[in-house]
Amino acid sequence: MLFSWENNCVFGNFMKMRLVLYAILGFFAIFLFYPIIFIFLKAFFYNGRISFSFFQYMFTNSVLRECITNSFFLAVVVTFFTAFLSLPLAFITTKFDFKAKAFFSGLLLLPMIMPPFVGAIGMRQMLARFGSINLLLMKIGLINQPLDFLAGGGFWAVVFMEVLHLYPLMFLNLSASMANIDPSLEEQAQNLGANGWKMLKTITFPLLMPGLFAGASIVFIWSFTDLGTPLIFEYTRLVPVQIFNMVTDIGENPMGYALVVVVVLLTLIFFLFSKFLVGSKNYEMLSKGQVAASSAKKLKGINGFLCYVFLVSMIFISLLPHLSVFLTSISDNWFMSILPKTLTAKYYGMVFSHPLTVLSIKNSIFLSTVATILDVILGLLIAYILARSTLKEKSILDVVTMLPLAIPGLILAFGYVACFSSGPLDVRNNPFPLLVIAYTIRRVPYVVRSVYAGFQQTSVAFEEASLNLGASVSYTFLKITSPLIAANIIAGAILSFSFAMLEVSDSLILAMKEQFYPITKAIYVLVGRISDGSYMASALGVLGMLLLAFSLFFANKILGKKMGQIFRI
Amino acid sequence: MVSVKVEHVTKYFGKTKILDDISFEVKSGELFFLVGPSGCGKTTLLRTIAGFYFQNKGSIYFDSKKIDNLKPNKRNTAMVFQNYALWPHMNIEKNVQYGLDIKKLKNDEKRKKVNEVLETVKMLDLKNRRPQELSGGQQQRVALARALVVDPDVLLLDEPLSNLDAKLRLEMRQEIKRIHLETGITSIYVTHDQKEALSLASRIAIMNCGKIEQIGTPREIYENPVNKFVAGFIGETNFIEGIICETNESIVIIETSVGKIISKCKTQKKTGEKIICSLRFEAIEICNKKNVNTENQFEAKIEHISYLGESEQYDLKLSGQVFVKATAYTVKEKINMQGSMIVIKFNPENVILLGE
Repeated sequence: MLFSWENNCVFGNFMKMRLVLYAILGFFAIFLFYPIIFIFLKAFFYNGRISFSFFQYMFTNSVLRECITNSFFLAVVVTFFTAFLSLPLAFITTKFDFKAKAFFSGLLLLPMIMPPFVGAIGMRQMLARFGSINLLLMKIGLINQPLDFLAGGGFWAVVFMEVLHLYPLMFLNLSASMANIDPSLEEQAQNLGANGWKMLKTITFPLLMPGLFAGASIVFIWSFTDLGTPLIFEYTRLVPVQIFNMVTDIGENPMGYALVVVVVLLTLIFFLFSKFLVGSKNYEMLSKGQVAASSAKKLKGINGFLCYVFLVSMIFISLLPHLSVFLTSISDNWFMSILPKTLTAKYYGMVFSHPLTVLSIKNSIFLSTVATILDVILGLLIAYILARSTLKEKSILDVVTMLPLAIPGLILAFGYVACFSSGPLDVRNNPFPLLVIAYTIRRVPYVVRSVYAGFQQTSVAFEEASLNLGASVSYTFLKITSPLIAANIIAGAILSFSFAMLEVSDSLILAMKEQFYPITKAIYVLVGRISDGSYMASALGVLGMLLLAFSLFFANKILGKKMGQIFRI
Repeated sequence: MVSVKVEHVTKYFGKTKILDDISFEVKSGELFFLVGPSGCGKTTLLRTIAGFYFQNKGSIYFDSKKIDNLKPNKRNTAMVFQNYALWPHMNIEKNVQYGLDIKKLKNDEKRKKVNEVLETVKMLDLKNRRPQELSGGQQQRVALARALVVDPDVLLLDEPLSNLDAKLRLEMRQEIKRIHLETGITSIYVTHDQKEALSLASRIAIMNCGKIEQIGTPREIYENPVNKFVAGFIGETNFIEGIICETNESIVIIETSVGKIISKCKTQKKTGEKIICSLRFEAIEICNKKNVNTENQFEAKIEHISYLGESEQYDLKLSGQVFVKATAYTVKEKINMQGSMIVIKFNPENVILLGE
């Protein structure tokens, strides 16, 4: 029998691995590319002919034009502010040493534990005409008339919420880059006579660029496509809200397709832009230094004090939405007072007794569990192929699995509704399969990255030593590889589960019937109810917040410094 | 014990040829060395024998059994990795026992074997420690034990001492020698350290650019290198180019820019052909004045003297812009000074003649 060298590989059978790879690519082709291609076809072909009429209409219709401008402006402003806030934060926490640094750095990540639209429920209370903030300002005599924070439809309120939610992502990216800079590079600059500012400008900042761009592109795409926050503030002149509204008459009105195309193109530009910039500027540090304790300067005196003031006020402001949601959830009819007058736990009781919320919790747990299991299986397979195989096709797999980071949930969900609407997967009948798939696809990059990082930290020689002693590939994987990367698998699974629990835009769009609502859709629907909806929604939000907080805490414990890299593009 | 036969093995990485038609045989019980500069393909060859790479052409045999189609876990080799690859999530005992677990031995038999092998490498006391808690030398011993315990057909050692400091390396060298003598396992040892190879090897293969330049015992390699590369790589030597002006049965006379050099080495080359004389540093003797009627004597100027402790290295300039180096044992009184003129002489038997 002819023996083919090509088909042999130390870490498993080449053909089997290739088969798995193509199966995974097939999965992505059906549930990631097909919906998007479908949307493009719908947007460009009308009655069988190529047509740009929707795009013409989009830019001549004043409402749509305004939406696009608003969304773009919103994303730019949010990106700018997150960078503006995160730079000094990352700088202080990596370059200086001060008491309780780990504690403060941890608190800075807290805003991530809540989808901004939940925070928006609380902030709506606080920012209202007779909400806490106006009442407080009037009481201490700063103003006589209540200010209208939500003027202009709440644009700045949306900005505020999104900046507070997204700056940790930027912060993680920046501090990861900063921690990666070999201190000797900066010491060399100082040694050659550069002063602090000069060094910052010529050495530190240029080396930070990849991290900054990576962070900026995530923040930009995130804020451009965030659906929940503007919905709560009822700020409708934004692209995501328009798309959301068009889902209901997706068959008749093709405008939705055209808008989605705009978003996809924009996302793609940003994705490639940041890939290009990060790729071309990805400086491999020759020697990785420890920036941590050794070279970090002690902060003392007035500088130390100022640093604490900055950190504490930043943390306070970013926790305001959480605080407001919490207060709302325990207050009994909070109205016309700075703080709620009477406190109650009854809404938590209601969360666990009301059929809508109970069902939604059950649904979410079920959906997230299934999605997490799928994610771990997919993630392990993909990471294994990427890290250990020599297949040529793996570079394609790499790009494809990372794409979901750039493709917003909104787009994916819209595509699912559009292209699977007549068939066994129709979301109008049962959205569960597509919800699970949407959750899985959206979070698979985190698992892949987490596990891949584990493979990379683990020397191949460990596995080779085992094979060499006679162990099979699967025995080696079970006894050697898995225990060594267990922490990374768990961290990836935790992240995947908790994010799936609080997935917003795909849940809002795909779950159409009450019996299928996940938690986030239930929160959104509850807010719309007049009597006690907001309070119950807040209570549900607090529970979700706790879940995400614990998950992130454990993931961070397990992954340590690698955490920042998980959230990169 | 098995013998290993490598026949016409060629290996590409992409389009680069890493191993170029390699053939050699390791006899059973030998401690065979693969030596060469980094990038010469020696580790690739070792990993191909272990089965981590598959050759594009050629075959490998253990005794008469062709193992080309066997996966690494079916070859019954045991490898000692350069970085030891001790599994950090298992203690020493578990690490060593792993290979026996796979062979599904009985528990008491496993324990007995593990204890025996740990005794051999003098690590029995530390068997409950984790690899991270051991020093480099101790980890090295454990890695060796883990390989030995499975009674492999072939022991493969990939630069096993390169991560140790100089003193420990000497100590472990003796250990490996002792263990090899005790077990008698056919072993293939990769290193770039010529001293390791010369002191331990039964036979050595010198590799360069994916090819084997010479195979022989340490003495053969050192004293009769077949070409300039081998002569320069193993030991330190001077090369002086010249043209053969006379050959007869016992001696060859070479005309060089220094003058006539006489060699007692045999060569295939004929009168009028170009040739290279290789002269070991230690073969050159430094004297104060010329002897009468002795060949191979030349005047030289001392350019520089490096003090090396037990010896001194002289950088010498001969006539005709020829520079040579010589080592001499240090003597108490320092006689020779930088810049002074001396005479060098060397025995015709020590002039090795090489082609290009």
